[in-house]
Amino acid sequence: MISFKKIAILALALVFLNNMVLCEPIVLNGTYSGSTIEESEAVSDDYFKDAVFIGDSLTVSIESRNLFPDTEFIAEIGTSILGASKDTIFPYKGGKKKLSELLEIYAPEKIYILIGTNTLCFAMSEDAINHYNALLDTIITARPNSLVYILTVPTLREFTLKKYKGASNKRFIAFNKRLLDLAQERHAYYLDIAALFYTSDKQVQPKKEYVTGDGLHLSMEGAQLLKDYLSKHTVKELLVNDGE
Amino acid sequence: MFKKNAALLFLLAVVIVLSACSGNNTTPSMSCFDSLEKIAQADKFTSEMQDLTQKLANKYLNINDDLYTDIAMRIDTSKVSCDQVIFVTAKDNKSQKDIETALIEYKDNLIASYRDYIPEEVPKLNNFILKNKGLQSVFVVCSDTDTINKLLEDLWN
Repeated sequence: MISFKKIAILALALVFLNNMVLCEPIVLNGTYSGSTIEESEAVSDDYFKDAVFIGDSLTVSIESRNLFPDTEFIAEIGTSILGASKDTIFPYKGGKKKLSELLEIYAPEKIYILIGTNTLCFAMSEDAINHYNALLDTIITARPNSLVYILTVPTLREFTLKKYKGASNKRFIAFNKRLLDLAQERHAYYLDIAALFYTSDKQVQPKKEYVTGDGLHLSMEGAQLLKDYLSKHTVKELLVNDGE
Repeated sequence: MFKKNAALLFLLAVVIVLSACSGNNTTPSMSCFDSLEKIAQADKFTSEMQDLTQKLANKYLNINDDLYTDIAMRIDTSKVSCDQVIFVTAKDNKSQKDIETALIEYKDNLIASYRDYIPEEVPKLNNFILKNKGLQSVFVVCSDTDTINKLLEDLWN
């Protein structure tokens, strides 16, 4: 027979655990406890002040829209995942620098990665995943203590896919699913932004209003949706284990 | 007699050169943004054009506020084309030279980027417009430079 006292203690313990899992930040006492992030109250622009975005033309176009006015962007049009990890391609003060060099210069606390379109239009997702792993090596080596957010790669409108032989949104979806595993393995945080733009659950091409006329880059409406989502999906702060 | 005529001719030439110079050296009173709007009305650019903030313009052109008194920059934010219009009014002649050097470097970097990304855009970049009137410089990339050149002529004369 379970006593009332035991039930009460059990109930209290459940409430405590529930609060720990659902309401508190994912990183507890400095340890990583999962790659997905629950929605929470939107943070202000201040949150993105010590962040950088890494990416290709998709990221450049987001920068141009000035939705993240105090955030640095390490981005260059036409960049592949592999190129981003090792090549001297990113604009900086009239010249070009490597990603690792710019991470040292900007010293960001938060890193948002949004890259893959240029690779996925040509390569199978397995190659792309290997390249992404190499990119994470570069980032984590340069900034081992920074929060890393992995953003899924938005799908393309059907007419855009036709320009690239063999490219399909299935490839994008498969790649994005693998990014979830990668996030878990590398203690990064996974944000499935691609799903924000789907036409419907069954139709994964982005809604027309979320992309520009090329069916690929985000329109102002799409970029604003992305910003709203990122603002509501954040890791609040690292709670350092001070031994108390 | 010959000496007198030659002196008169020389004087006339000096007057013509000076008046031409003074006309060309008058910085337009219209703001960079209003000038840009006039050019944009030609409808010779993609539909995705958007104004950049001063901070982004500085970053993309690798210049700083000390060089100019006014700036307006509008680009294709989708990056599908390299269409763009930039007006900058420099603080002085030296600053204007620095700005024009920066614009040329910016154009060269764009060519390097687009060569692999969308090669069809490179001829447009090679056919860029870079002109100045007084301390104001304009940089334009679009597919119909003839129309833009005519508009600039009307705008500045």
